[in-house]
Amino acid sequence: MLRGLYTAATGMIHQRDKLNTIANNLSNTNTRGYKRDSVVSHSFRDELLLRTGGQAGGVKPLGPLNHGVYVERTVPLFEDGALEQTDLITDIALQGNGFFTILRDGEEFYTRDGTFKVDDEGFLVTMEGHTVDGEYGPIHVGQGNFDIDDEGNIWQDDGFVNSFRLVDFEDATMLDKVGDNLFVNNNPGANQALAFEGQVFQGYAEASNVELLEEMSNMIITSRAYEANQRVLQMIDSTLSKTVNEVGSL
Amino acid sequence: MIRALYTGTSGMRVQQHKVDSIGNNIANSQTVGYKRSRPDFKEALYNIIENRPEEAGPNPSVGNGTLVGSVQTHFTQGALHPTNVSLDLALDGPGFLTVESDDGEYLYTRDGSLRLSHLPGGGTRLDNGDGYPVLDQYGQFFVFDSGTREEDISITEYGDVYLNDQDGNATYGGRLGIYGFSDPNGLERINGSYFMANDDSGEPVGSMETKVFQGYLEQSNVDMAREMTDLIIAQRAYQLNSRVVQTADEMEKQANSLRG
Repeated sequence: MLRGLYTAATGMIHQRDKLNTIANNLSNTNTRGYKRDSVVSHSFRDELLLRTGGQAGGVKPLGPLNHGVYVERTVPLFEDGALEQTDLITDIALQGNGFFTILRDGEEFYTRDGTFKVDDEGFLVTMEGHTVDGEYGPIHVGQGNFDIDDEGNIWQDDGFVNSFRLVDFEDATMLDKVGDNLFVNNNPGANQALAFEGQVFQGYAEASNVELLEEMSNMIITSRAYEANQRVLQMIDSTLSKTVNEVGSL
Repeated sequence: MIRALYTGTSGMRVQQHKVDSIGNNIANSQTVGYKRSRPDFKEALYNIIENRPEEAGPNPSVGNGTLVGSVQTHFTQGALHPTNVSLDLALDGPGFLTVESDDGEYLYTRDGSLRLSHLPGGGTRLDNGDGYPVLDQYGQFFVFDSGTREEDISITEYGDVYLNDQDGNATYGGRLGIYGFSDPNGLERINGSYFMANDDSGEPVGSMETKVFQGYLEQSNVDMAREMTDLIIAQRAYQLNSRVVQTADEMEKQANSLRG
């Protein structure tokens, strides 16, 4: 078989994977605290082509060639999303690099989605009911009003209550998404938590950072690249058809 | 099939939900005591991308679109509108008035347009607009003599109800049962402006910081400008996601036509 057949097929598969990521970005244009993913492509390993036979005989190297492309990584991009003013005291937005720490079944997760609520026991929790972690344990605000300053300290009538446990990472792009607007750090050894240096805003929600224009143009590029790979595949197919049906006929 | 087809569909579905909720908010923009609601979205699960060589390192992941994470009712204060009607009450603060439904259940509401209704056996009772009796802080009805007129009743900002006679003497008639909840969002929404307590909302607790204003009604807290902006955003997002479905479909078509 012509090796280009398989190369074109990896091209189609790769463009399909890219479209899936773009679709996920576009689908989350209204998801609070969503960070768009971008796809890093990588070519398959280079292989050295060799020519055997020929006039001089022996083996002659021709040069390297690779056999297509795959998705190397999907990288979340952490630009700040726009702040939408909601006037709810339980809507809290971050600007600058960093995350809220969420405890789900005792495990730490990180999120940029600061639309919280107060549960029936007076603790600040996510919409799914997971604990929002503070520097001094879970954050208890009870039934009353509370104020949050731009460093994430929480104040009530009778003084300081707690402060959000806000963290940043050496390389936040190494965090993995797990759904529910949560990130998880799967390599705590290699990717250490740092102090948060951004600002906290109460009464605001951070919108998704998906750029519609960029995603739309990426979608066009992707679907055209898919088409181009499809044409290559068809061309190789017709070449093969000639070989099989015409060269052999008398 | 290409995953993007389903991802795009999930995007369209949540935007449809958003439009539904905006529609409901706008329809109730003039409903007394109505609290707007807002759906919040969350990412669906992530899957591993396959079709990679072994030496490529950890697998990257791709999302499956978006889901409706929660629908939150915003219990922010609505504007107080003066009506000069004696039994129009507006609440300022987080509390709710308590009424008893026909089934004997306690319902909580912010709608304070009350009236006196005549009881079959004589006497009058303080009811809300739907005829549900208003409860005091001990769960009792407010019952007065049959000759009582609405303008004879005065209510203080703490919810104390007084009955004034012709001579200007006031008789104490009890205090309105005004309750707040730790998590009002956990309240179960019963048709329109009634809520019911459950495990998620926590137990009703007397709400001292809630003030009562007689002769006022609380307007809905729907902000038309915000709703219209959200509507535009939701509509465009719907459109974008339908383009994704279209693109995924075209790509499927091309794959299909490989064997021409």
